[in-house]
Amino acid sequence: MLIIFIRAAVLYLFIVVIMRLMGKKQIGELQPTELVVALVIADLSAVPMESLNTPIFYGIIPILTLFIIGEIFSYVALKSDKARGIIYGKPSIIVEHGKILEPEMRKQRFNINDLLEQLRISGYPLLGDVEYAILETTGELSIIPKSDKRPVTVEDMKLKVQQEELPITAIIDGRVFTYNLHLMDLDEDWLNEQLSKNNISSPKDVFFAYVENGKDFKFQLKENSKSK
Amino acid sequence: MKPLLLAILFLIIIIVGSTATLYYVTNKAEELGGQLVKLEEHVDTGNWSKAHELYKDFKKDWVNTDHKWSMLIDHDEIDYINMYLGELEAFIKMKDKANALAKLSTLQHLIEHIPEKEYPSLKNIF
Repeated sequence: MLIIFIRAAVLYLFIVVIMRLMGKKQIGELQPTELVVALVIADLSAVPMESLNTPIFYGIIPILTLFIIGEIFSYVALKSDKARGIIYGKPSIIVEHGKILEPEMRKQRFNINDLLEQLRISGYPLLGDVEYAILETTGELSIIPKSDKRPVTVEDMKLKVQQEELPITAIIDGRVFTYNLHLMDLDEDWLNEQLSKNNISSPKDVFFAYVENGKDFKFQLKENSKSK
Repeated sequence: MKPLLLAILFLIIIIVGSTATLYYVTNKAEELGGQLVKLEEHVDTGNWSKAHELYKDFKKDWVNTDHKWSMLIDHDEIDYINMYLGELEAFIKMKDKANALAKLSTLQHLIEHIPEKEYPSLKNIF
């Protein structure tokens, strides 16, 4: 029992490290080769985890091999367009100038219902509004609407707006994120000043606080602090 | 770039590690096989005291090998070797020549088979 526990823990930690090294993509965003790796890893680790007669290396070595091949493929695809086409495939244009390309649909085994569903999900229920629809290598459909059907932008309205800065978290559940404050050229003195301005005695009373546009302090107090 | 470097490092470790493992297992299997041949000669000639002595030496050597091989190869074959060694000891003690020779032959086959199974041949790959 203890051996199975230790083996499972070792393999779990090993897989977590490998998956972290492989990147942050989710299942739906994986390239075909990456999807294969993600699916096979699960199976490869299960056998040595439960079978005590199998050395743990019988699970570790194939997982490492898949990781190595995956990384080499990624590198080759990064360096060569031709190789990228072979390994990951190429995006396919399904709708061009508002016209469905039937041969391409057939080639990709993508039917009209799939197309209409993806168009609806993307917010273009009318095929006539679509100029281009491109089936990406991950299986997602990218849609480029006709120019007169795309959403209005601030630029279209000729309005002047200020560029928004990334909001920075300052306090979570009473813990101050000094590193984040330093990123914005702020310090704990500034934070304490903001807290006293808002009649907050200690950061420990704050549930969540962030800094907007480099200077605006926004916060929400903890429930028990409000009743004080 | 960092994961790629790690991948290359892992690749080198796997290739070097597998080659070293194969080399070690092959050499050790040959050595153990040689000891079994000597043991077989003494059993065959009926020199039971010498056979028992050689068996003890073999067993001692095997216990050390067992620990290392368990990390590298399927445990089933190691379990079989341990089981047949126990039987062989009893046959040597009982001076049962026919059964002792039969067990020795099986043990030789099992020990020779282990590096064969690890060798990257077409038969093993497919």
